[in-house]
Amino acid sequence: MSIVICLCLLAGAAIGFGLLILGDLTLQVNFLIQPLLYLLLLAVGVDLGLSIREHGWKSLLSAAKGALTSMVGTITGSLIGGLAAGALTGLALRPSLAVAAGFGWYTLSSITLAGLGGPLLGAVAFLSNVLRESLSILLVSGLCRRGLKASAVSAVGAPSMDVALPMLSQSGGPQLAAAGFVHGLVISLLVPVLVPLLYGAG
Amino acid sequence: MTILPLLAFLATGVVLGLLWRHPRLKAVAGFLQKFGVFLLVFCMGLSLGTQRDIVDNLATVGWQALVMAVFVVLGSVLCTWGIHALTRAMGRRKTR
Repeated sequence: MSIVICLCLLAGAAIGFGLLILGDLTLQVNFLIQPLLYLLLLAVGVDLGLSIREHGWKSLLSAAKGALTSMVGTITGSLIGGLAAGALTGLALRPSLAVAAGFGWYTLSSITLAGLGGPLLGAVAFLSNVLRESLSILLVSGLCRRGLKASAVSAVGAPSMDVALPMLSQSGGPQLAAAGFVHGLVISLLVPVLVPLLYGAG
Repeated sequence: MTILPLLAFLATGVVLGLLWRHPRLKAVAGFLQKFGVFLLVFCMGLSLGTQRDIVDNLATVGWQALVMAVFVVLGSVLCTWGIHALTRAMGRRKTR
């Protein structure tokens, strides 16, 4: 999945770059991206509704208890890490925090930050959150083998409810998958709130 | 981009999933998610590739993004490990 996503990104970038060299035209693809994102969220919601119907609210709530440690760790750890990375690379305080608060949800955080802070910040948000997803998925099985299951969920961030879910389930069993889903859901709901808030857009 | 339409679409999806008993609903939602993500990422690539200020600054953007990703993952892993160890130690003291 991660490889196909990387290839899609590279193909799009290569074709876009080719168009840039050929005709120096700025392609307006944003009008396509927004409805696509809405459609995706609708589909994620349907999946969530179906799983509630199948397993009931109670199973979701008991998994949520186990996911609480991961949630707090994801939020504090990501923001501290974002601050450190910003200090190291010369990215200003608020943009660093806002990029880190994408928690791996690269589509939403990059679109939001491109709108707030310009295309360059959008690009940093996109690339860093894509890299977070790929890097953390590679780490999941190793962390679980060392007994750090809650940390494995935290490393992934928001994608623990979708893209990384099969990996969590394989490495940590169905309970970790349930915790990952709840963790990802809560973290995902925080992204559209925290990113503009930390950037200072109110 | 505002938050409300995003949450509205998510909530509509949840209601649909809870109430609409269509046998192929899960398959359609899965298909939409998979290929929607591919198309979305392709479009993101297109918009990255056609913006000259990004292409010209790829070294800076790439470096900042890489350092950010590594530190964010490291911070998350360490913080969760710390909280986990702390709560377990507190639980042990309580039961003693």
